[in-house]
Amino acid sequence: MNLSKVFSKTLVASPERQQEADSDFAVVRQVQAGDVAAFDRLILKYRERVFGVVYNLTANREDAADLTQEAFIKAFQSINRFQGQSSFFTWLYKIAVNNALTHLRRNRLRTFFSLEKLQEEPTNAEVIAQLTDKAGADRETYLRELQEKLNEAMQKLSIKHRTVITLFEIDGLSHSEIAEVMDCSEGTVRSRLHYAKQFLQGELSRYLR
Amino acid sequence: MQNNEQRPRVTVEDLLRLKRAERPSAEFWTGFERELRQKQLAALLEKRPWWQELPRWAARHAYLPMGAAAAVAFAFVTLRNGTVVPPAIGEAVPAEYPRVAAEPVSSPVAAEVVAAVVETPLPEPAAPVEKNEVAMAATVPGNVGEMIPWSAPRTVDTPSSRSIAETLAHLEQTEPELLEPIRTNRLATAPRMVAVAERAAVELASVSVDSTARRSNRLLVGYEQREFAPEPAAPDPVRERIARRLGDPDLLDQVRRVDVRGDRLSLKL
Repeated sequence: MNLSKVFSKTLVASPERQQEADSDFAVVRQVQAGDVAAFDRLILKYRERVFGVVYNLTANREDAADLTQEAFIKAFQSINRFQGQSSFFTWLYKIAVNNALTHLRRNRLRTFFSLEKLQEEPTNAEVIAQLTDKAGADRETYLRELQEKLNEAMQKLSIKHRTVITLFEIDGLSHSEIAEVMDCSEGTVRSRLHYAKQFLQGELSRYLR
Repeated sequence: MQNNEQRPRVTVEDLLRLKRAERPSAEFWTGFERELRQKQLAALLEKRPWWQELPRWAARHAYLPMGAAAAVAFAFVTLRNGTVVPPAIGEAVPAEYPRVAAEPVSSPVAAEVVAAVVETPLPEPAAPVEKNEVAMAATVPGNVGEMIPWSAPRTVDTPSSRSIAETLAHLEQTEPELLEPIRTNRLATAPRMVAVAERAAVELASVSVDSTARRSNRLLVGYEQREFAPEPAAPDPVRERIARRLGDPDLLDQVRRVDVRGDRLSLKL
């Protein structure tokens, strides 16, 4: 990455992100110096986020677990090549996303859902309340059906559109970060995002009130 | 319906954020960690395939193949510029090339080539040339030296050759009659040998052939008429010295270096 890109990224990145990137880089330095156990801290910190991205791309929890483990192993094997040009989590995401995309391209014709249970939390309680006023078993069934429809709609998207919508809407990455992870321009990211949302609106119109 | 309109609108973004709640349980992470450890160990022990190791190997050992390639290229260029490719069969041979009337040729193709070479007109040699004898053309082109293979000995203009040439030139001017036999010897060895052989054959023919009985009688007479005249014995100290010298390995070695066969004397240095 050239200096101008690093500079622009530094400007765009929030102070919290910058602080996080610095602390990650310090841990990476320890690993590069031979403290292999320090890598466990990075695994603990990022495993849920990496798993979430891969899971939303594959819609299969077993595949997602395997691909997440592979991503961490690849990152560990290539840790000496990481020189801090980007933040560690962007670099790790790039490995995980590329690994998942390779897996999806190889198994394009094989789609098998294996979904995690949708947890009801205070953060999503409001949305669920807006969608249904059912209670008990009916509510469970409704949420299960909603979850399946969501994943089906996601799987109908192309791999690139699915990646963009996952990274932006579910994982909360910025356009520039997605562009870096996917090796494309921010304009391309916005375009893909717009198309993916349009598509999903058509697919999930039943739930949009 | 009115109830639905009063509700706040649910967007695609809201639905997608629901997917954040699809999270595995704590037990899942225990198994995940255990599997990851196993895979990490397996990855450490696993030998990488050659195509992954190739760039690293090339970076580490690039100087070896590059050096070898450079040496091969240098040898190729040197050989290509240094050797002369002989003319192909059927190709016209330039007239100034030296002619070689060599051994009888068995191959028909090679015979054609030799015939084609011999048919070209040549300047007359200084002396008659026997069959199977190599005769160099009187006029040798200037680039013949370049056509001689590297392994062949080259004629070098040495001081001794120069002095021989000067002496011959001097002799040619002052005493040409002395030079004539030398030329005859050098250039007509075979006719002279033929003449000597013919003379010996005439002498042998003049000798009468003895019968076996007469020959044995003559040998007996010769044996009886012989005189036993022993050589005078050397004095003792001389004999001792000779014996010592004969036992000397250096002398033996020197003697072995000298070889006399017919009219040849060869020295091994």
